[in-house]
Amino acid sequence: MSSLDNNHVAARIRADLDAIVIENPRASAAHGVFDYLIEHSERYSTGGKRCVLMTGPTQSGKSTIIESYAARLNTPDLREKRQIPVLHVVLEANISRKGLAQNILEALEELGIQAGTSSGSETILLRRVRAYLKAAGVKLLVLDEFQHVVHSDNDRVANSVGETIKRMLIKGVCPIVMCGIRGAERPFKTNSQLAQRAEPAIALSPIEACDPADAEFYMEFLASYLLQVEDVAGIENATSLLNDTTPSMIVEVANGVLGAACNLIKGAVTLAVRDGRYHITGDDLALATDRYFIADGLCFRNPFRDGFDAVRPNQH
Amino acid sequence: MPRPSQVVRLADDERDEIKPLLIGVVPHADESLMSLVSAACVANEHERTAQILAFAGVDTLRPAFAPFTRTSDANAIATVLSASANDVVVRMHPKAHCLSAGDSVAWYGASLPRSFLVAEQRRVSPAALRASPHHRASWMVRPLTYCPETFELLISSCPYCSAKLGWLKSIGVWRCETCTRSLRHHRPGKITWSLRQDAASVAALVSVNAKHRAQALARMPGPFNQWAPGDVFFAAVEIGSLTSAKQPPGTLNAEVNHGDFSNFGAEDLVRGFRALCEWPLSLKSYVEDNRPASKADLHHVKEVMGPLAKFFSPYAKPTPLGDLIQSAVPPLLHELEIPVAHRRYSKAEAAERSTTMTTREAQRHFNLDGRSLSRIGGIDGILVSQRQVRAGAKLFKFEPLKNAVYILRGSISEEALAAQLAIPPLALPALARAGLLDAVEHKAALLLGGGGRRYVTASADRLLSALDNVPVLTSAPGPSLAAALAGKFNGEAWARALGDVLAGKLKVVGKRDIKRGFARRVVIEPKLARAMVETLSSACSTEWEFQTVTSGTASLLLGIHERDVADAIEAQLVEAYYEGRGYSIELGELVQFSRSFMAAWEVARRLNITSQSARSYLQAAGIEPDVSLSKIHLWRREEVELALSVRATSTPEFRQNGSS
Repeated sequence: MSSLDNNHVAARIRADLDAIVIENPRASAAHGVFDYLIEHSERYSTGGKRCVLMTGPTQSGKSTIIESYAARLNTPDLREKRQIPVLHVVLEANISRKGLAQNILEALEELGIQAGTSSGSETILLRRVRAYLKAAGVKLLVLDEFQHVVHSDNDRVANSVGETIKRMLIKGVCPIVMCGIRGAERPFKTNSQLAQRAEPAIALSPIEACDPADAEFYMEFLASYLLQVEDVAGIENATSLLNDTTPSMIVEVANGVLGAACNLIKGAVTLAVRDGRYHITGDDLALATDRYFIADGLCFRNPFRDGFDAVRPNQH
Repeated sequence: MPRPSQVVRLADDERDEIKPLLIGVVPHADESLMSLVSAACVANEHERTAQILAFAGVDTLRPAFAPFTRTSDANAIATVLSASANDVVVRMHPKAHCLSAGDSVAWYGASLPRSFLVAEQRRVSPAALRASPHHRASWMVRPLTYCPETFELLISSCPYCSAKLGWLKSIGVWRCETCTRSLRHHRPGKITWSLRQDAASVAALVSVNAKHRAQALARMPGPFNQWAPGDVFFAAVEIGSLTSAKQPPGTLNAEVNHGDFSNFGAEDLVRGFRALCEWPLSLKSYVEDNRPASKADLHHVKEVMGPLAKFFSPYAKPTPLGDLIQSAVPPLLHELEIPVAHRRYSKAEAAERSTTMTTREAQRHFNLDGRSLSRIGGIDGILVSQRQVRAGAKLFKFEPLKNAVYILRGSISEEALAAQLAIPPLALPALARAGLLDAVEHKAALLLGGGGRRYVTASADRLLSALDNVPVLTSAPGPSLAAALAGKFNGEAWARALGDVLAGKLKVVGKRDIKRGFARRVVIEPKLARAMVETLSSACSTEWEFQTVTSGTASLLLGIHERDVADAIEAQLVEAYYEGRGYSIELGELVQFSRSFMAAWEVARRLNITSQSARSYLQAAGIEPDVSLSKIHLWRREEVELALSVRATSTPEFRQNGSS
């Protein structure tokens, strides 16, 4: 098989690996909160809605949790009826009130609806957002990358966006989930009204290797994931990564972030497949660490080459 | 170069880019397309209807015209509105064919003149909006100044801020886009109760529902129930505007034809509709009401038809209504005996005439020439118009004319009958008085026949047959009846002689084998002939009317050859006038000639000798002929009388104007 063919196969396998979603206690807990918000909204349909903030570092699984929840509720038959129970909106940087409305409408347009994102004033757009959320039967609005609200050009803009979200909650359109990295919680701290409408935040913190509970959760997650890798990518020895100190090395490279750990494995699988192999070696993991972590400054040491380091508290 | 399949795929891709609005619209059956767009605009929180159309790829600054001009984008618009393509297509108004107007558009499966539909203006009925806040398509129809549903007068401007209602911005068709106040609370008033039933019926002709249109059409009288509903509606608008009381007449129609319906009201439309319902009586009453007061023989079509005369203009566009009026008016005018000078007036077929007909039709129908018809122009009871301006402008009553022609065809002219009898025509009235002939008294028939006396053909045939059947008792020589009666200038004498022949008093002793008339053909017994002449001379003294005779008649009366008559005229012995076909000689001239000259045959008859002997006798008496004509010599009567010692009392009886 030529290298060109290997690349094609590697790309396909990588795409299949990206689609793997592992049911895990953190995701279940988050889904539980979402269910609670929706249930509350339906029970208290005429009143204000509640919200929740979900924070976590990059690749901590926030988007995966949301997408898996959306996939569960946004069934094809509802989509056909142009009903969107979970609307996942990814906010742009330097978001303004109008930008917020446009982002929501864009999310609708991505679902094949003519929302007229550029048509109308800010007021009109926000009014359209409310109308559309109601018409589309949106039960849960997810505002991803919520830190962009905080990182707006100025505080006035950030506050106005926060106020807008609060108003949307008060107006009782639908409950809102706000996702973001560190700093996304700032509007909640400064706006008590918003905080009072919020459920306790869902924090997707990194795995603490020294924490037995985290370690157990991590091993269960990694085992499930590697089994999926074997099934999906056809890697013969994926579960062999559960042996010895490899899981610890993976955690070290990923800084305890589950998504990063998965990405490391995906990188190693990609390298192996490109090489025409369906089994992973330590060199694959080492090379993946170099290329995807050390080169990007996400990690400063390659344990697969330099050896396992002593257990130490997580940098986070 | 892309393959066709690739082009098709590209087009499909482009169509896929058109996304539906999240909140679609459910159209009402009677809702206009712009109302759908406006509803979508409101539901989806858009300010401008143009934006909704832009989503469908219809980039326009005047969205109200999109239903008229962007029909090719119907599918795209339907996609955006989440409506079915048919719902949108049926609400669009592409160019269509309408008999009544050149510039026509489709109207929910029918067609209407484009000028009948308002595009940019939003006309609403507040009462209807209270019932359902959507714009009814029927409100687009300009001639409908009321809502067919509520009979409320439509408003096109905000009653609060006076701003024009349009389609550019939309915050709901029930609200003024300028002041945002609701229009639903306004009460602009309704049309009167007396108009409502017909107002609903005429509005049904332009209903968006094809079944309602068909039902409305079925209720119309012929020929309208065979027309397209749009044409009938157009006709109602035309008639309504043309018969408006607005001065000067026809002004409203001119405004309407220019798309200005500001002065066109429900009463105008209903009036036009009622005129159609009562057709053709309505047209008749219109014409009667407009009957010109003047007694002119010929009226201009404008004078009679008023504004409806527009349909007779050579520049008038052919429309079903125009064709109907052009065909219905001429017979109607004939029936009402209103002469109109117009080219089209005489174009209607004779079959459509009821009581009158034009000159041209009469010529064709009765095979008459124009001159004959022109002679009866002055007779009351036949001719409606006496002045002939153009062909077809004269009106004749059909029945009297037919009767006159019938009588004419059953009659024989005086000259023809006189020729068959070989008697002077001036004797025929006496025959009629004697009951031997039936004279035609019908003035029109006489004029159609040329103006001369005429006799019923049946009676003439009867007389001729009877004369032909007179038995010939013996075959003996003698003068012909005509010769025996020569010099008798009294018609009664000729009539009585014929009567005597028929009665057997005058014996026929022979018949000559000639075809020059009865009197020349039969030979009578000479003695009876002389007796007859004497009897007739004393008995028949009826005055001759002053008249002229032809040279043929003169020949008969004088008992000389027609060529001799011509010679006498040429020799100026007899004064005559040449009138084209022959000489016209006054009877007095003949009498004078007869008094002055005597032919040999007359001497011979006096002396009962032959003409040759008579000439010898006169020659022996020393009397020379005074005049010699082609075949005969004429002697001075005075000289001959003197020679014969005959008193001059035997001169022909003749009195003209008291002279004898």
